[in-house]
Amino acid sequence: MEDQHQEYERFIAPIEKEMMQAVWRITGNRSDAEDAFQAALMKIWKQWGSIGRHPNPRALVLRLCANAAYDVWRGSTRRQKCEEPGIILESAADPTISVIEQLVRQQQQSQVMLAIGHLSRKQGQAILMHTIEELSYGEIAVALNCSEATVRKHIARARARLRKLLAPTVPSITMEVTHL
Amino acid sequence: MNQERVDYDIDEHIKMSTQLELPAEVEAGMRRQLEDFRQRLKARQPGRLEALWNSFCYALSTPRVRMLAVSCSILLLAMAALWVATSSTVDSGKMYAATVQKFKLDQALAYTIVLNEQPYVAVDFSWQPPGYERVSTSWGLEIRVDHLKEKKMLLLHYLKKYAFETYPDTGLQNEPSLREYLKSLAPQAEKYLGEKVTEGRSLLGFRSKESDLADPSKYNVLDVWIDAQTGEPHHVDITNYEEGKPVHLMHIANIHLGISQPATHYDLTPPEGYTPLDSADLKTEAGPEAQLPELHAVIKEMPAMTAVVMPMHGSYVQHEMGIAKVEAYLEQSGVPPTGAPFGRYFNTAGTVPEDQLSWEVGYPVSSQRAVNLPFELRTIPKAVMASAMVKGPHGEDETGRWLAFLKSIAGQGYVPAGTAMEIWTEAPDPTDKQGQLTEMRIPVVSAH
Repeated sequence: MEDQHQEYERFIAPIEKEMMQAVWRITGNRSDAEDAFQAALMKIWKQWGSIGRHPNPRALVLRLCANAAYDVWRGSTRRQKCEEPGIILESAADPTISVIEQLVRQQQQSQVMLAIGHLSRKQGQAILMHTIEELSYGEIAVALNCSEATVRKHIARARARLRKLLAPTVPSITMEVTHL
Repeated sequence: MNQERVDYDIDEHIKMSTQLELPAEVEAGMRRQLEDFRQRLKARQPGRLEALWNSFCYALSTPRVRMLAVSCSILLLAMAALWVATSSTVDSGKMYAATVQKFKLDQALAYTIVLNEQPYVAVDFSWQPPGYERVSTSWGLEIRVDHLKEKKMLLLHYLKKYAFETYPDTGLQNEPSLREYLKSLAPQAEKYLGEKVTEGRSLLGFRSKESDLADPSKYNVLDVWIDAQTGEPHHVDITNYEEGKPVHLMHIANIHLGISQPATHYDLTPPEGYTPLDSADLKTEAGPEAQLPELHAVIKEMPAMTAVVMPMHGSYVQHEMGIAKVEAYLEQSGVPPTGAPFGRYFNTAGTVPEDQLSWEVGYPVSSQRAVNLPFELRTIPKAVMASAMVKGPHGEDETGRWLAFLKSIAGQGYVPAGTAMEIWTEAPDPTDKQGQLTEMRIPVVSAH
């Protein structure tokens, strides 16, 4: 039992905040975040025996969190298409951020995540780990169990696709599309 | 703007768009989930296998103990493999010992000896308690012995002759000794040969080697194959090695232990139509030879022969008709025969009813070619054969010729070991029946 506790301290405790952030940044709302976090912890529980053996436990745990969040977010997006809900404004983490700014950010997050939702699963996972969790190509490769070159390919294709998808709403990246 | 800049911008956009601060109440909810997870984890007992595996992996990840861990793992694996192999060998060894015991205890025993894997060459042997014995060979000799009455009957099916011999006699030495040999197998084999599947049955093989103490260059390798399902012996292969001599393989098949044979099997009453042959005639140099044609069997290796044949069944009176059909077929096909016509005989008159006689006639041809039914292309393999040529009308005094031929073979220390064959050559003058030649051939092996 003590071993289990030590392993938690070794693998999970240092990255608790990153895990929560990863889930939150993908889901963007409390309900989905808590569902996704619970799902992520379930996956970690199931794979607990192999986490310690993984070459990069941090990358693996964060990937499990991101995957769970991504799955919940996609499921939620599909439901929203049917239900057409209004924007639910989450309570601000930072009270200095205005309600308007908060709405804009949520709108942007929603647009980006919708665009990411159009990517393949691997491309979506790779770009999220690279941009949100700021994992290196090597760490992503270990987490996805593929080569670094494959990760680069996934990310490059994800970027290209996202540029096209986000161009109408993000003029700053419209120009760059023409250079591809 | 270069590609890196473009990539940076899209990455930053994603990052900024998702740079949502984690609200305190959401974080609090997640922390509760984490605490619950931590508590569950503390209470979690890893499975034994998981714990062992984790220890192993942890050890492997630590350089100092990696070598030790690997060594221990290899040792464990080796022990496991040894345990599996040993248990398997022990189980199969027990099966072998049980089979050997069956050979030893079961009085009734029957088997067929196949010599050098030749087809249709076999010696059927059976023993029935309290003392009945029978040997029937594929070349038409049958011997029935009643050890209680001390009486032995010889049946010469080619000749439709019978004879009673004084008991005991040396004529059956090989077969009873083989029976004793099988009954005295060592309870442990030297080597487990593994498993093979024959005719859909799984067989386990065991090998023993027996050297001749007087002559180390002579030894037998004995392979006993046992049915894995029933534990019954399936077949025994005895390979005889002797320096400077060809390797002989004796395949003992159709082994039956403890099965009673019908009383007629050992009946010493001569079959109907058989006439007596004075046993003394077979043993003395004088007498019968005067009535038998003079011939000397030559033992030599005959090359393989390709032939077009027509399988025949039933009475031998069909000889001329069969040969004529093959001849006509070859002429029609434009294939010239390369030799004289011949007949081959797979069983013997007297051992089976006439309608069950199985034989074939044919002509040798120069090459392999497709043939149409009822004709068949036959390759008669290269073999050591006994051969003798007799002059006179084809089919005349067949029994006498064959008896003299078999005697000549036996006199040279050989026993027939194959399908009997006759080759018929016409005289230069086709009307000269006395000038016709008949060559008798039969594969042989050394009797020693």
